Amino acid sequence: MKMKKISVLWASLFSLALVGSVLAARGLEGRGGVGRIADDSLYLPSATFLRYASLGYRTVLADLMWIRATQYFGGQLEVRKAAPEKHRFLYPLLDLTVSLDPHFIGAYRFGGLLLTVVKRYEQAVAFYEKGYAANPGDWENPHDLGRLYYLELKDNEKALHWWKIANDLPGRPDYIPRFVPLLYLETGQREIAVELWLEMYRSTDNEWLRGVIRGRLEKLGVEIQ
Amino acid sequence: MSKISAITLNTFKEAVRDRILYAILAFAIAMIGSTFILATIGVGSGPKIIRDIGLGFISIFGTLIAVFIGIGLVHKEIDRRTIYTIVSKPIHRFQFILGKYLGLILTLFVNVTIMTWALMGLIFIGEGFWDFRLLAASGMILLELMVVTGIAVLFSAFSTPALSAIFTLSFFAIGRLLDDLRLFGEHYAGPVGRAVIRTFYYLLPNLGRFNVSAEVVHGVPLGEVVSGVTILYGSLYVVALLALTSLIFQNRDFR
Repeated sequence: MKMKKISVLWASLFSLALVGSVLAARGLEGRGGVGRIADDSLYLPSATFLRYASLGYRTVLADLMWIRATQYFGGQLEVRKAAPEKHRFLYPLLDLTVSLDPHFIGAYRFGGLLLTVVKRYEQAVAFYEKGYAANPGDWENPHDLGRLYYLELKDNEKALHWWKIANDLPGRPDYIPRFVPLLYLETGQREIAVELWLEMYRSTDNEWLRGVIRGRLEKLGVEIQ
Repeated sequence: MSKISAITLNTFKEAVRDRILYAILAFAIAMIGSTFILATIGVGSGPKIIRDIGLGFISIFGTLIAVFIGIGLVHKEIDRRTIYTIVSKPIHRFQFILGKYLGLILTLFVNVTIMTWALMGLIFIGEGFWDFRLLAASGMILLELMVVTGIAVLFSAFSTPALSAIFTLSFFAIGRLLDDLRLFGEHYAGPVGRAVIRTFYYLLPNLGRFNVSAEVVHGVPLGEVVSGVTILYGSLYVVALLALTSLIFQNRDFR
């Protein structure tokens, strides 16, 4: 009986202390203090330091940094004012991610897209170019860079340059070969565009694609023999 | 051979009776399961994150098991004075060391296998297929753990568990950074410094060589990831460590 009483006493004390600590934690929320900073992204470690500190678990740290970058992006969306410093740590966080794992294609793709969404085009270009330099055999970075130049920066010459590169890489999407002649046309290189479409028309037995090419060539006044 | 296998099985039984082992294993599996949560906030990189962090946990928890069981492997026998019974039997001391070592390796093999299948099961639930490539990564993790265990057993033969743990973890950290150390030496050290660093580079265990998880996750062909030379290197290093341990243990006086 005595043992039971002691157990009940300990259980009650535990419950009270736990509830008290939860209430205290709630009270601490939002309170500042020495060492507390508004944005911990201000104190990002360098990639070199993290490479050593990771003891070889670099890709694990890269994943954690990637999650941190996406959370930072989400957090900044709540900042209403379009101040110049908004999203300023997005690029450093993304750069840190790919410095730890240079083959993290998903981070280049989505990270570049995030930079594009927040209209940090120069950084997006630099980020994609870094991705291409580290992964010259992957079509994703030149493809996304071409899309950025074409859709956002309206620079068809550069879009063509990057899509030509993507077009030659294995695994690229089927629509890239169709876009390349279109870009030749838009950059005033009509002869090359016609030649490429004709070549594509002859080499495919896909009726839908043939119809698309036929339509394009007819608009240019070219007859298919 | 039967003497070694008897010690091996006994060490294995002793290890699996240890509650710490179950605690570490349960925690490891829980952590591997938690990668699922991280993957959901990883925006488009979920599969990579599950594999990276899952393999990271297998390596980290495997190392913890290797170190914290390995450091007490020989010392425990001395502390409990059971070593006197063993050395008085017709058994060579190297057989005792080898049996102890193999017993712990068997324990690690079982644990790494459980953790790997837990990770593969998680991927199967999420993606609908068994990613057998992970077996290559965990095989190399096991090879690394064999070297780490060898280091732990070496220190366990002549030092206290606390010091052995510090020494083994230090060797683990140095072994993981050895390639960077060499790179650093080549860039910043003078001719003498470079020679010293190169000597340490070849003498210390280069554990980074066994870390192929990133390559496996990024889809590098397995033929390029798992090399025969790496396996040979790991095996020879283990032999060297066990030989040194036997030498030290042979010369210890247990009267």
